[in-house]
Amino acid sequence: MQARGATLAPGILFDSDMGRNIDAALALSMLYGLGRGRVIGVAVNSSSLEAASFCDVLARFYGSGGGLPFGLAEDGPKLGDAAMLSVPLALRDSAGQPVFRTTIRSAIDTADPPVLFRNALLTQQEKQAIAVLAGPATNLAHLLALNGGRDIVAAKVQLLVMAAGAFDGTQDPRIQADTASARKVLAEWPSPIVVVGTEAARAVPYSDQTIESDLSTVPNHPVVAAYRAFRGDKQSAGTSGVPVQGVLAALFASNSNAEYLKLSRPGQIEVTGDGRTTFKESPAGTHRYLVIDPAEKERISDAFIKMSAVRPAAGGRGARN
Amino acid sequence: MIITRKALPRRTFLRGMGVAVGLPFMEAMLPAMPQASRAGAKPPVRLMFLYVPNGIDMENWNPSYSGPLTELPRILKPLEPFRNDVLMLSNLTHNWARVLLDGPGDHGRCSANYLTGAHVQKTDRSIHVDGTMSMDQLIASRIGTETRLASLELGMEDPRQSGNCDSGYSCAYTNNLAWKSPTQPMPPLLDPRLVFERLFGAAGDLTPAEREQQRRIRTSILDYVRESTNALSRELGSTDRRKLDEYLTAIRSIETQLEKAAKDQTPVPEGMAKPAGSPADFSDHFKLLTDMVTVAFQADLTRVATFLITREGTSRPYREIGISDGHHPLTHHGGKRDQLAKVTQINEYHLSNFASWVGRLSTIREGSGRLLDNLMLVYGAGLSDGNRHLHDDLPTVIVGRGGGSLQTGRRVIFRRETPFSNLHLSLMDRMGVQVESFGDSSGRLSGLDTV
Amino acid sequence: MGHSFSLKAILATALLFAGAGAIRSQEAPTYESSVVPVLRQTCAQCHNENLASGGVNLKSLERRDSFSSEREQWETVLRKLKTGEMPPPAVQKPAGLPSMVRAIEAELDRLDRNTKPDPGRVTARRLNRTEYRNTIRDLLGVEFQATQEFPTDDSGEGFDNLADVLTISPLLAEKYLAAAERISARALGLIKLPKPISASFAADVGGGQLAATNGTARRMGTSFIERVHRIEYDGDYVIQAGLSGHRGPEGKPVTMGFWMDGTLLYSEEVATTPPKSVYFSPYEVKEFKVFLSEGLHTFRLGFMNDEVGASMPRAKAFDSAANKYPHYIGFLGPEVPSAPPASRSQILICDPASGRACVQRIVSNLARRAWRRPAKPGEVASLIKLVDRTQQEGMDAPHGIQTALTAILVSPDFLFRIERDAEPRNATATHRISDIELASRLSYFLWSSMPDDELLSLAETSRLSNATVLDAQITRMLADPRASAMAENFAGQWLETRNLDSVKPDPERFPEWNTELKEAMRTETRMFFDSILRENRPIAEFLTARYTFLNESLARFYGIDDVKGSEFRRVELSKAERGGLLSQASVLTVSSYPTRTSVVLRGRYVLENILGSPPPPPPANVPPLDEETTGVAQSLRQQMEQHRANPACAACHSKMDPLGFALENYDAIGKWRTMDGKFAIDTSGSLPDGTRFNGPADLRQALATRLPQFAEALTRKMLVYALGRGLESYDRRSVNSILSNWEKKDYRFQALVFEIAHSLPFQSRRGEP
Repeated sequence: MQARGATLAPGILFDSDMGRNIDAALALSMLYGLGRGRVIGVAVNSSSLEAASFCDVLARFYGSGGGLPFGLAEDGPKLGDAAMLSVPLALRDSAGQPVFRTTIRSAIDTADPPVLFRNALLTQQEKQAIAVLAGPATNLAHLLALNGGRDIVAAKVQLLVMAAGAFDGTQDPRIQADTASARKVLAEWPSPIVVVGTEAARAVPYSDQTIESDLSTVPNHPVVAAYRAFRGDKQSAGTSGVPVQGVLAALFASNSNAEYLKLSRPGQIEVTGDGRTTFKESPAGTHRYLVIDPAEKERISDAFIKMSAVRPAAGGRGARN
Repeated sequence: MIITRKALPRRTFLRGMGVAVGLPFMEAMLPAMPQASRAGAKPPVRLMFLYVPNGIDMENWNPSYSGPLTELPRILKPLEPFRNDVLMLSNLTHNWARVLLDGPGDHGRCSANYLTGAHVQKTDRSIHVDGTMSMDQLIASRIGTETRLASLELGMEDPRQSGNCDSGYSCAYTNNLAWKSPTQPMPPLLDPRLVFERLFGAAGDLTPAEREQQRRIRTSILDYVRESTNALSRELGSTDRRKLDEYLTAIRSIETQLEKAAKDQTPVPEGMAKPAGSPADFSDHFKLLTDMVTVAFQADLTRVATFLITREGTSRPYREIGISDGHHPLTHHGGKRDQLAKVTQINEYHLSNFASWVGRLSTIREGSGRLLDNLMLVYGAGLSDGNRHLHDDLPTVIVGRGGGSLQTGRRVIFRRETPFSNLHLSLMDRMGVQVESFGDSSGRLSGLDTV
Repeated sequence: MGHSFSLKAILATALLFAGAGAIRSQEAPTYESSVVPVLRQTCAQCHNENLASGGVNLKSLERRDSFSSEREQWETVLRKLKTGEMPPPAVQKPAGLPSMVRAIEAELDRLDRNTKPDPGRVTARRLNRTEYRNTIRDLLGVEFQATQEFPTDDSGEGFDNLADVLTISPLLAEKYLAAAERISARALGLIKLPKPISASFAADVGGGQLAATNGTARRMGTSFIERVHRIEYDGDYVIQAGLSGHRGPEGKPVTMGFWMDGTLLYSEEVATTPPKSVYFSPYEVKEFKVFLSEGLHTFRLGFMNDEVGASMPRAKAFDSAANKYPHYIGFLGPEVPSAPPASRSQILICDPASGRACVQRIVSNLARRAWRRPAKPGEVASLIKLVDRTQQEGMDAPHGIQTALTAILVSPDFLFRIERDAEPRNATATHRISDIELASRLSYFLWSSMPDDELLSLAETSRLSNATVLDAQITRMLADPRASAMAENFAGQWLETRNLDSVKPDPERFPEWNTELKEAMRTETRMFFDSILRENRPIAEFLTARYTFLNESLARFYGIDDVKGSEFRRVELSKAERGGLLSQASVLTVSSYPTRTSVVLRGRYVLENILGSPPPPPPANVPPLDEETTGVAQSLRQQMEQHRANPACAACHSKMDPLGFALENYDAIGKWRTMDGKFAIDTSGSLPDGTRFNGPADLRQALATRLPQFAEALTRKMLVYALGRGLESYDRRSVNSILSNWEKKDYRFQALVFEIAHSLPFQSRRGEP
């Protein structure tokens, strides 16, 4: 029996282009940091097994493994050589054992993203779930197209936070990777949508220090390993830091009523032919986008640090196994 | 419903008195049996589900490999001689059978959800399975009119007579596999004698003239019933009317049977005796029922059957193999080796009974090939690990080549979370019933017919 | 501002009209003053958003309007408080508890007063297998084994007569048609019999000239043999009884008996002295003719009260030079019965060949009784068409009647119990059911069968609904043999004793278990229930009676001497070991596993069936008991204590297990014991409210103090059974009024039947939303 009238913390779906850049890794680790049971379904939009494996590594690191499998796109793009994934996965300890364990051996160990998301959503009470997208919208578009998928999304999802788009006239590769899907999701997704644009990410970059100093205090942090590999011999991004759309999205998803996160007025967001995102204000609109208030940058960065520095929760296996 | 007997009246009567219990008729009757395939025509594909409860000891079910079947694990061993006719499927999942928001009651859910692929409403005072009907009934509703019986439902265990069945789920959910509508289960026949009468008619030895006469009178009685029921319906509220509609539908199906019986008259196979009742011994009972399914398929009396071997949550002990503990309590072994061993034995025992039927089937020819080539016998369970009530990687094997539409002799492992309903879609295709989606299907299974 | 104004207004009116009432209302516990504080301070400790113990979070009840929105939740809260189940013993009971209970009741009553009573609505009810069999028996005098011929009825809420769960599949419809044809032919004696054939069965032990052709008969002790055998046709059969051996020159004569399904069909005195000329082993064959009805029957042959045979040492028992014993049963038949079946003349009240008028009389009479209502002329006309139709086929008048009868038996008016609404689609259109409908409700409630002529005639003349007439009828019906259906069907399901057939105790561990003992157990509980009902005893006796009903074998099983013979009789209980339902072997067996007892199953049984507060179902993957080590390495109790150390389990098991432990003196088939394996049995425990007890006798007393709770449990069960639907929250008012009236009648059992028969949901119905 469900606890009657209990208002449970929202379960979070996370879909990303894990492996393309460090953003998705930071965002997912933040969400796992929220505690066991909060992340209910994770998928990647590429067909590279390492991407799913790395999600598995993060889940185990935060002690959130053992639930549903990870979603891996059926016929998504291949990442080619993604050092931020391959390097950490290849790490061996003194005993020659992998530092970061995963049980994903082949595509059989993963799931079809739309089915995975649907099954995950059915564990949620009405409007309990929040979806976070940090990548092309392909998987979410498939979810809407799935038999019964749209109705389940309408019933279970209270909010979609979409780290894809740009509101300074520029283009976001995450949209351009699959404009059709982005257009479909923005047009048909039945819940309110908050979009985090590239311009917002550039406004509050994620400082390398945070990663180097705060995260590395935890031994063998997969994100740190991934970040180092990601940065490779590119000279340090220095003080500028990394733009992290996904991290902002994760931050908003995990405390949407934080007053330092400001939103545009409601309206309608659409995708143009050349893959730009446009915003048309309208009182009845269900779309908004994140607006960074210069005065709040400090607090947002602090929030990044607080969330990233979370150590593996009780039961978290850390990096050992 | 009415069938002529070739056998001598007195002898069949004698047997009718309960002399012959077993049915050692297979070989004897073959010549007498009309082939389902009329000259030249391609034999029809027939589908049957055989369901075992309380999950399976997966350790001893799943082979270590995929692809061509070589050596089979302990539980499946009995099927090894026929492995070229076996298609093993892994990782199929029934998500609606999971706890989701409904709490305990996995046994109640997984049994009602197995063939419907739908959400099962948690109630003990009424019954409702979301969705339309179970896949076997969907098939029956489309192609059922081509055979005398649209479908055949069998079982071997008397349902619980009182008390509640599973955590607030009505007993109807565990007593039945097939659902004709969200609120109408199709109860299985347990007594081989009743199955015999259903296939070959209860009416003794009537002359063709008497039989015709009986048919005409029956028809007028049914007309009367339809009219009076319709008249009555008009005065009633919707739920009452629903009950009467169930009855009307049933009446119509009897009428179709009467018409068919008028045209073709399958003789009772030479040497086939009317069983006296349900034998106490598991194997005897299993053999009686499956042998009659063989006849039903051979004579094309029906093309879709479901067999609820025992009920979910059953506590039946298996004295036949020296196990006195109830099946269900045993499956909650909590990892205790000795208890798990007994579960494995029960799983093996079920399989060995199934395999010996397959053995008997394998000798039967049909058209230019074998009967097995045109069958799809799906053997499986609605739970994988019965101890932890898991609903993914549901143990599933298909025996028979589905009229050449199945590449057997292999194990196919699908991606995790692949809906079991996708199998339903793919099987329905092979039965000539195309639908866009079924239950929580996400598409059709690929790789059933190609290596 | 406006708010405070309206408040003033209320006060003003209160003073104006209520006067002192206003002051009283301050004293009376209110929701705000007596409920909310306890909810917040006590309940919320566990039933909050985070813990939601037992899956219950009471936050939503902290608003007054929750009484209407979350009524069922409130009902549960109220029940838990009144039964003392909550707050649990561990939590300190707040002083405000009694006033909280009163306040909640006040709120619910207020809610009720402002809403029109709702009788609910029963869907058209299909006759279940038992009702079908009984109705055919009472309608035509034909014994039809519906349980053998029809698929099993599904059940809900523990009963197999729930309208919404009983459905009709094509299979069942087929069976209905076949059954109707067969039954009508049997009733009119129109079945043409085949040539007689013989079937015979001999008991393995012993021998003689007669060899069995159809298998063996089972030995039941030395003096009886038994065989289950299907009779395919009603008819006369010649029975051959093969008796082997002799008891020497001094052998006293014995009375040989022949039983079908427990009824004695034939008896004869036979000598046991050696026959005149003995060539080889002495053997005697008695032949006699009896009428046997179609169906699967259990036949038994043997010597009645045969002390000599019973006391024979096993070695000599089957030595034909030392003992005479039954050995062989042969059946030769069927032969055309000497007289046509009585039903034939009951149906053909005149000669149908004599013409229309008679046919009309016959048909309308049949239809009226079968449909439990007068048949309309139009209906009779269309039935007569079928008679004509048959005769056009060149068949005679009786065959015409048979067709009509068949049609009557497959018509929905026979198969269903249908009640009419003036406004089927108006949920607020509450109305009394007609007298005719009331008659059927009564007869299927008390008899699981059709109304008899007296009942139906009273209904047809609209006198039945008159309270005094109704009471007189109930009294008459309860005295009627048919009322044994209450014990068979209501008690059989309420007490789950029907499951005696599905539980299969391990013969290794329980060698005493056999069909006879099983049936004896069933009979004990049936007769016990029946006597409490028919003698209108207080229901407390279900729990505490110092008597029961035993025959020799069951008495021996209970360790009670000086009960001789196979027939049951009332026995006073002297020892504390037995007394009340919870000491009856039937109940103890159905609440055990095949190999061992289960304190959990028994605990659940008591909570569900006696206290009416079933525990929430267990989570998956519960760590089970170690079967093998129980009683060896660890006592069952030690294991359960561990089990309960797990907080997830503790919540419910602390309720169930103690009740089960109190019954640990009975093994898995109800035999008394003091040791479990090599461990002494510890039977101490406590009720949900903390009442402590030690052993079955204590438990009986402890439960007896919970009489109102037992009464409510029993009322709810019987109301479900009587109505054929699950209870809804709006039924609470009916349940409460039944209970308060019943209490005034010291919970005498029949009073409950009367209360239910007079209750709103039993006498009224409404349309659908």
